[in-house]
Amino acid sequence: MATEKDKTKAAFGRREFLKIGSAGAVLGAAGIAAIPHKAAGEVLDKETKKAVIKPLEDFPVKISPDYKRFSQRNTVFSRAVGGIDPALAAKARTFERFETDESRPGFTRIDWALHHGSWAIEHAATPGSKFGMPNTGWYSWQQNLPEQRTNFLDLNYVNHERHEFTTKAEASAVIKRAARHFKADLVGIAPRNKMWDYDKHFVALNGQEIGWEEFPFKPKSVIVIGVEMDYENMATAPSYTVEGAIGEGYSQMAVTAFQLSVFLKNLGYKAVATGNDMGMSVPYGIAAGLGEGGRNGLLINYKYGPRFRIAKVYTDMDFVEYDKPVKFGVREFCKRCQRCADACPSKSIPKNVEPTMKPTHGGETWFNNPGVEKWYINAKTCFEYWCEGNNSCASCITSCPYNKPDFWHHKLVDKVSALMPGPVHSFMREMDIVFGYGDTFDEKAVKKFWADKDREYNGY
Amino acid sequence: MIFSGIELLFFILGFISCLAMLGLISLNMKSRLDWKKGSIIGLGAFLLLFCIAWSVSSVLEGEPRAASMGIVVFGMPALILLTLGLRMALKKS
Repeated sequence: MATEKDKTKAAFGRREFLKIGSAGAVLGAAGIAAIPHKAAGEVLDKETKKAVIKPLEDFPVKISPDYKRFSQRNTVFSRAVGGIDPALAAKARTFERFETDESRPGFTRIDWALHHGSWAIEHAATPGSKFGMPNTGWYSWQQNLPEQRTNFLDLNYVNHERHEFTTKAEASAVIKRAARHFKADLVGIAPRNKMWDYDKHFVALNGQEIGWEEFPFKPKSVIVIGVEMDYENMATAPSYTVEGAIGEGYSQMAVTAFQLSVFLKNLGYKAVATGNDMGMSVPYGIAAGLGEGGRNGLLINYKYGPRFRIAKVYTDMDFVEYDKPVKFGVREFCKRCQRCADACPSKSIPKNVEPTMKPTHGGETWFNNPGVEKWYINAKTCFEYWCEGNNSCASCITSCPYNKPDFWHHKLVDKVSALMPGPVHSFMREMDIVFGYGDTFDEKAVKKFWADKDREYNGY
Repeated sequence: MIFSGIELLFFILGFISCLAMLGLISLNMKSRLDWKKGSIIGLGAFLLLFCIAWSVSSVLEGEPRAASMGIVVFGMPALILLTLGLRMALKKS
């Protein structure tokens, strides 16, 4: 039987409970009132990003004073497709051969069809651009005036009347908003820098070299566009299936860059959309603040890691606010991680801890441009593996710990990792493996990509 | 779908956090917790919430192995700390 004392205690407990509950409700309401337009999570994310992502005044990679511009003739694609290196050209001719295997997930007829369907826009709209062909299709250099339009349906012309923006910030904001509308996932604007442009353009199909004097205008700015590749598809690397993500990325590059170039032309500015041609996308991406250069030779973005494709739009517009390069700990993490180097089936990614000013892989080096502090990959053995495996591999993208879906816990790990010293990076790398991320040659990933379970297509 | 999986997760987490806070306060009223017991139980509760958040998020992003590992890496220590803390708190002196 409960005593009087117990009853008093219980009543007091209930009162206390109500008091605490009321106090919690008041505090919660006050909290919501204090941040009416933003979720607390967004505020927290923004504030913590400031501690991790540091904008820089200068280009964050050391450049040697004797750095020379790179000739496009010396890219692996130019040498292979252009027939400059006969042995490599012979291997290149075997690439994308029709060869399927129904017993091998990722290499079936359906995967092959996905490969072609995904690349279709790129091949039709910008033929040859994937191996750097300049001035092709939607990446054409033409700067027609309104009177040169073929008919009223031709929208690709430079308007006589130039739109003048009030401020540089406004110009930059308008360009970025338009690019996002045209399905760009990332946009940054950098001043044109001749160092990152090919010394000479190379037309691989006929072996012709073209100088910049033939370019129709003097570019002043480069708008760098990033297009995300699907995470679930990227997990299937290397396979024909992964060509789906890569081809889709390239096709979207063509669409977005072309539309943005027409947008600029309509505002009265000259513009040329480009993919892999004209200049090197990674340094331009760094200059435009889209990320840092990683061990795998790719641009690593804060949100997508290396899982995106880069297109560029060269324009004569210079009344624009340029983005600053950023640093969020990628280079430090890459020093210890090396997951891409371990995953690379052709061992084309070097394992030296520190980045260097010249190649360390010990093979041929004509495709490397020394004088930049980075990790130099062996592009030749990489491409030879593509030809052997009959697909574009992408293991270095899939295995990278920065390649994650856009979920809060990965951002948390990235932030902790960026603020911690080296040994933590090694631990994070091991945890990434233990938790099952970044597996390559994963047949389950192919089955998962094609699985119909829990997918809805009718909008219900 | 009215709520996305992640929205629902954080709504439920908020509810569980509230219950955990009330539980901790009630426990403190029943048997005065010193800083040691309070910290152990508090850390255990935080780890358990983190474990739920991590594992459900991993399932939502389609990485079941990461979800299982989340239960092992965060869930096990959470249970150990909670058991230890509660035993210490409820032990009759």
